[in-house]
Amino acid sequence: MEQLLSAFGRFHPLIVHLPIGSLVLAFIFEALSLRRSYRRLGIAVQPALLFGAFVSLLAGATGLALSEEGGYEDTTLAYHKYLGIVTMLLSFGLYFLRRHRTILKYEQRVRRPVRFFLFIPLLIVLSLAGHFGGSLTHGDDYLTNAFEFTGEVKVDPISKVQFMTQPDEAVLYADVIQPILESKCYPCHSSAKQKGDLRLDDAQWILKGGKDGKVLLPGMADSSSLFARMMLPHEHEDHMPPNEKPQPSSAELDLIRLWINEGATFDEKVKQLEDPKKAIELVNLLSDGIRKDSWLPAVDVSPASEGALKRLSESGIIALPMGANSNFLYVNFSNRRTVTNESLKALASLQDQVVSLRFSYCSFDNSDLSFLNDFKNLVSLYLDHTNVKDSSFQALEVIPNLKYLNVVFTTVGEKSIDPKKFPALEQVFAFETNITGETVARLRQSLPSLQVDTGGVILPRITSDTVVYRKKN
Amino acid sequence: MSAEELKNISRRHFLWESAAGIGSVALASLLGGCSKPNAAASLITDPMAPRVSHFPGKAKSVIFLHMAGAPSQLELFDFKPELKKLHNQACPPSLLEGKRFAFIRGTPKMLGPQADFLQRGDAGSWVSNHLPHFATIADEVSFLKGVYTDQFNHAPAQLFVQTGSPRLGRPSIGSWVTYGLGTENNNLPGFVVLTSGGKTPDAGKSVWGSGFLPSIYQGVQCRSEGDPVLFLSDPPGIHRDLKSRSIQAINDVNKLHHKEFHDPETLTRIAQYEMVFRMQISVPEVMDINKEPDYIHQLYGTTPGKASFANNCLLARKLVEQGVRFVQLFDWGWDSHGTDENLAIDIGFRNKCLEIDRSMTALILDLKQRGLLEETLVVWGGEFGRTPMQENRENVTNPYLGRDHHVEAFTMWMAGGGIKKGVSYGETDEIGYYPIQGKVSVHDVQATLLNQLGLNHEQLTYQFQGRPFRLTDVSGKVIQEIVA
Repeated sequence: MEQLLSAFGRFHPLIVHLPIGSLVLAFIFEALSLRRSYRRLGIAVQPALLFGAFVSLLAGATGLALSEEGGYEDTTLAYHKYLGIVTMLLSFGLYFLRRHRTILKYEQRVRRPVRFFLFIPLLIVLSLAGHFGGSLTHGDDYLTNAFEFTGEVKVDPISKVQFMTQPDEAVLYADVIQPILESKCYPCHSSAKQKGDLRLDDAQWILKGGKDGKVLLPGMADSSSLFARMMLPHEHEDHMPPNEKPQPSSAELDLIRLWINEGATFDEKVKQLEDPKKAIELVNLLSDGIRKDSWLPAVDVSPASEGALKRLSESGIIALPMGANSNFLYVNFSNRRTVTNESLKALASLQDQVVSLRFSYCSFDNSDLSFLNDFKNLVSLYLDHTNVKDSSFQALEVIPNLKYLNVVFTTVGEKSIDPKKFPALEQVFAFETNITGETVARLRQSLPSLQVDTGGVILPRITSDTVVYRKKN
Repeated sequence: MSAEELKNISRRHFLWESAAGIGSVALASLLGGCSKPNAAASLITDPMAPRVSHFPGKAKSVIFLHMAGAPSQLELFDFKPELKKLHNQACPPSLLEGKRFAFIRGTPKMLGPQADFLQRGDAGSWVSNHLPHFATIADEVSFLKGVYTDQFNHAPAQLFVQTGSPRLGRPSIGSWVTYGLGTENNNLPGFVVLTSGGKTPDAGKSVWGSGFLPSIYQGVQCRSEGDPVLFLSDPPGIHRDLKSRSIQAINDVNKLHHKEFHDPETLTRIAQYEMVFRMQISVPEVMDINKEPDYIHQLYGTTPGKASFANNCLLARKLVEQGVRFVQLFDWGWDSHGTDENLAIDIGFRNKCLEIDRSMTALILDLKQRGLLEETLVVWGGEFGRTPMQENRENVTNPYLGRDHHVEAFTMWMAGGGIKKGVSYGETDEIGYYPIQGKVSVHDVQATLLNQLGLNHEQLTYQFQGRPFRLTDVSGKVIQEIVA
């Protein structure tokens, strides 16, 4: 019986539109019949009203059945229900008023306008009922959202987590888990909608669970349907969030799993957890997504001079922005094979923009590198297979942001890699140079984070290099 | 202009037209320079000129090691001790219902892993004893253990991996990449293909074809024996000067032709003539591994003059070092069905593993010591995986141990090019049949590859037959979990 009722209720969204159409049509006929040329439409008002009244009765009945399923916001539902009932009563009332002309004992001339004005309350109530019905299915902010074309951009709540500076001091639920739920679950499980009778926007609701019982079993993530249903394969019909909605990333899933397995508390700080390191790692993983370009300097530079770019490319030097929206430049001399003083002059006007500079396989007319002194945003410098030597570095003062230096297959020795000149240096590639293991050890003392690769890798000869497997006889 | 003429006009056309019309060299700088000093004009026509990426990418080049035939993940990276216990037991019907296999019929038996596994490096990634050298660098690599495909035959599956579609006619990854980014060395092709293993892939040359993209973007297959590119050297009696002048004349005629008909293929032809002329000197040079020092030959295990995977690995490094954008290696012989000794999972397969072990390890280490690994994305994988069941072709157990094609789960790895080190992403169930976590599609892998080069796979499109096409069709998601 309950199932039958529920099936009946599901017809509500279909039937509910019939009275709307029919009653509005009755009103239009009534209004038109005020004019002489449309007077004959007046006879259609009554049947339309009667039909509208009956289908609104039906809509009301299906609506009541549907509301039994639950999952709707209580106050909005109440408004919708009572306004719907009033609509139905008004339409029946109007029909009887019209049918028994004796009740409206007006003169022929006044009768029509009076009938017209009697329609107005019906229309108002009908519109309001419809509006609340829409709010129930599409959410409170459905209409207003569409108007939000200016003003603030909707910020993904997860960005709060991403910009977190001290993850160990954070409260795991409030600062990490809640924003994830807000971003991925609230659209259907919060004050706006409660699909499956489930709300996730407050601790008490999360603990209460939904239509099918509890969704959270502290300590047992895999048995908690809150988490387990997110882990189902996408094509599984119980998978959450629904396929067409944004999906949580694996770091977000891991955080929810960790939170439940750690007891699903609502006030514990990350540092109080059994495994705070894991949680911090995961939080950092979340922020990774937005700091992808962190290897580029964190400053804004003006666009490069067109003239200089033109001069470079005319002489066969590649000079390209790092990306479509970036003013930083990548410059590659390798096709030229020689680096002339003129081309370095053209380069000088790009000193702010160049972040990556490649001279691989080139020979410098003048290998003095002091022209790099003003390249304050230079991050990577390729001098491999060139004629640079120790003396090239002498007049060079400082390249403050240089992180990557490649000098493989040159005669560069230890004097050249002066930590004072390259305070930000992280990686030096020094295969086939005069830089030795001793230098590397000394450099690491002054710049502990520096990695110097002097290459010369070998793979030992092992028996498997020569063995050939055959069928055993 | 007639509709027929309009059809021939592409974005590239527009650039050529506007550049020629306005005579603006500023446009040339927008396109980026990569040509001889006196070649400002040909630079605009050069479809291989380097171009701006969508966003700053970590990788500049890609080396794709495709193990054609599909190596078994269950003997290399996906350790399944549970499968060992089930060895020789009949396969439960639940794994067979509704499935189609290339050769398995009836009820096959389960086949335990035919290798010993150890956790390697600091990250503890599983690598079997079949790859002893590679095991030492497992920390450099990120493994994708839950890759799946939907094609269980070699040719369509190879096309799917290389072109994003199991059917013929789509451009290969290398074509898309060179179409998107051009190439940095104007003396070498932007997309080079090297094959080993004595056989080209089942899907034929379409796996490095340019599909509907202009044919300049198709892969240039280089041979490791004899002339690297056929018919590249001058015939006897023809001097380079004469050749230069004749190419100039032909190109002048072609330019007139292009002005009239606006066919992008004419531009391709012009660019190809020019490039071949330059390649005559640069290609034999870069393809000659004889000049490499002994320690490099020992590192890779190369024998000059032989067509081998090891030689191709060394060549791949040399090409990338010279600024080639995309190098595609195909190695054949991985189809371990167990139908003969060479295709036995415990005999021929092990020999194949040893064949690639030293050289692919050397490739990673050599790129690293030259400071190139961070900007070179190395991708390794087959077109699908192998079944946890022993193959029983036509319901008769094969003479040797072997596994059938498996589409549900297989392992690929990526290294360098801004990929995290030592990550194992994804997990299969206890017998390696389905991914249970970190399931990624072939399109996801392709999206990630493009992402590392600074390309958004949803924005890299080409208008064809009335709609924009892209490598990843309508799907694909960048696997952020392995992106550093």
